[in-house]
Amino acid sequence: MKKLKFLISFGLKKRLLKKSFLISNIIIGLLTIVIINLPTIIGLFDNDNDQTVQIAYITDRETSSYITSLDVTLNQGLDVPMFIFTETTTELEDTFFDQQQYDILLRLSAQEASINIQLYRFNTTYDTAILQTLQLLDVIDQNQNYMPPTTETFLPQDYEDPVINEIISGLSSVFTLPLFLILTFGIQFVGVDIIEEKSSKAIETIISSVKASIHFLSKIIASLIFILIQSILLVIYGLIGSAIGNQSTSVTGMSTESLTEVFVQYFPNWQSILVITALFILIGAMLYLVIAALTASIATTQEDYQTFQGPIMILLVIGFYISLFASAAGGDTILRIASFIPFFAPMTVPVAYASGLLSNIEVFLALATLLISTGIVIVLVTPIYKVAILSYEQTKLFQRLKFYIQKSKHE
Amino acid sequence: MLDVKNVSMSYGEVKAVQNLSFTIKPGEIFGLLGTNGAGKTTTFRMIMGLIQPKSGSITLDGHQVSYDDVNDIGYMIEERSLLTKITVKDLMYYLGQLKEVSKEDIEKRLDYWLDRFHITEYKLKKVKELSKGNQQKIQFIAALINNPKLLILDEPFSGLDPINTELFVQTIRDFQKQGTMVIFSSHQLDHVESFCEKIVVLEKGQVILEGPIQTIKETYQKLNIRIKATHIDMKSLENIEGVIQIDTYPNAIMVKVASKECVKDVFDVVKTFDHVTTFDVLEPPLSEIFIDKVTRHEKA
Repeated sequence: MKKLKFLISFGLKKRLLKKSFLISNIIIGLLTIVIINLPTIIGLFDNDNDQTVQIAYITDRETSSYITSLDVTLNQGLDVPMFIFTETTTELEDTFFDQQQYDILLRLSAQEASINIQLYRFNTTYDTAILQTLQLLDVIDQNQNYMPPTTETFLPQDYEDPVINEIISGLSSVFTLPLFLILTFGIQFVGVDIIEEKSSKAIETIISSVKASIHFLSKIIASLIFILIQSILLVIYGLIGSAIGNQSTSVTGMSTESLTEVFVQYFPNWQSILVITALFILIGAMLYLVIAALTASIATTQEDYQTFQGPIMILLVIGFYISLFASAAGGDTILRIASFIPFFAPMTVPVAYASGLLSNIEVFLALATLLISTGIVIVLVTPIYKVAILSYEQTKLFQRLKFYIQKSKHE
Repeated sequence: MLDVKNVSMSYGEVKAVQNLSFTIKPGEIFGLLGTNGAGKTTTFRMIMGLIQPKSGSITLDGHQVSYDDVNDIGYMIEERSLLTKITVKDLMYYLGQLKEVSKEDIEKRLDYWLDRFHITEYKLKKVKELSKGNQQKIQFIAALINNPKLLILDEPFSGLDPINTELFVQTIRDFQKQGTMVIFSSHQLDHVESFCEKIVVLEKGQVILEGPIQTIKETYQKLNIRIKATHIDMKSLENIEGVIQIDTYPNAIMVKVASKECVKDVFDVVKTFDHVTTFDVLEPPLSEIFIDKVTRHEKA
């Protein structure tokens, strides 16, 4: 136990007190802050003033004055009017979603005690602006015995909320990229550490002082702690990014939102999403780390290791791309299937769960699959590692692996 | 005392070590010899408890050797085996603490050994910045840092100049005086001869020679006779029964004979030569016995 503790602390110090760790974290920190504030940053450069919104309207005698006031209010302060109002006939109601000339069709009609608003549009971008202004004008107009207007809104049948789509796409940035980075760091950590000791033959001296199984365990635990530290740092960067976003909102007065705020707003179950993400990253990382440790133990040189770790990285990249693009490209089935494959699950399950593709039971099943697979891999790999770490075979990967498996049965 | 009794180890069909037995008492230096792949490393690993023998037993001071004993064992492997990207001090802290030596003791012992090997100035240098010879010294210090009860040295002198070799020799002698058991392995058999009282020679896992060096030499029977004279009649020497080989050197010749009985026959011929200044009957060097035994075993 004493030696295990010592090896873990030595491995961590070696990694955390390196310049490369500091530099990579500065870069990751900056990138995280930028990604978190991407909507704000895009908002800063987005010049909506050049756009115009074509509004067709139908009114009756009692409501025609509302359009004039609405025009004045919405275009107030603009050098060039953004909202262009054009009167039309009721025929457009039937053909509105088939035409492209107008962005919005607004029909106002007087009822007994209030007005009726019918709003046809292709998206909900200007809903708040139009409806709130009309309500305000109605309050001013009726003054006494105010009755709120009745509102009917219409969207195309195939309408998809762009914000939800953006959020699901954004999940790839918020979840998948950091997960991919963390797993890659972990694999590098454990692999490079082992192959450095093995290729320099220092492992011979080390293993003469500590059991191979303890050595193996220390590398896995140290890497997991490293992953945990890196994850906490990422969360801190995220919080800093959010704080910067809030600060810039209050300074510029722009009503842009950081990804964190949008995320919390659209995912009320964000706590369970974070817990599930943490569980999958932890167990998934263990699976990858064990295989990376085995690969490094089989390799004899740094070059060997770089070649042998190729398949692991390919698996990781496949998982990354599935979670990144499958949902956005309508490949829900792929995302769902990948969530039950242990090598992909750490990256696909958080995204699939957050987007509502997986139920709680399915997530539990995916977690059980990952957990059992990781357990089996640990049991199978440990004896091979004990043999391979002190052997210097020069044959091809699978031949070498086969030899070590056979040898492990005899030791 | 280290007692290795009838130890065998195999990997499937491959017999790495067969029926190996030897004993080392405190203060004894024991030679474990063999060609590459003979089974020496497997034997070292079994002694350190890294792998369990298939049969037989290994005891250290009366108890079955296990991983709990590694803190009392110092091991220096044949090749360079150091982490090169860290400083000498950090490396010793790492390896020393793995042997459960306190930081204070590591510091004290490291300073002592660095001073003794005249490399104090390298304490804070990265290992990769050191010359091969100095790296060898660091590796040697790493094996000594826990003041081991049992010291396993595999080719400790490789890459060392004669002065540094002498430093190592003195150090090993000091440990011997303190009662440390030393297992010594080297292809430089003159070192083995000067150090060890007893040896075992392994070949493909089998013991082909074992016992005290003196007994081995006496049992071997063949002798070498060095002759110096102004005129040597090679023909007459070659015709003597029992003469196996004659080697010519700048100032002398070496006649190898099959047994003690042939010496008198050779002497009778040599005394007929002019100005004979030397007639030395020499025991065969260990290297000669080693080569002879290994070659015979390979042929068999």
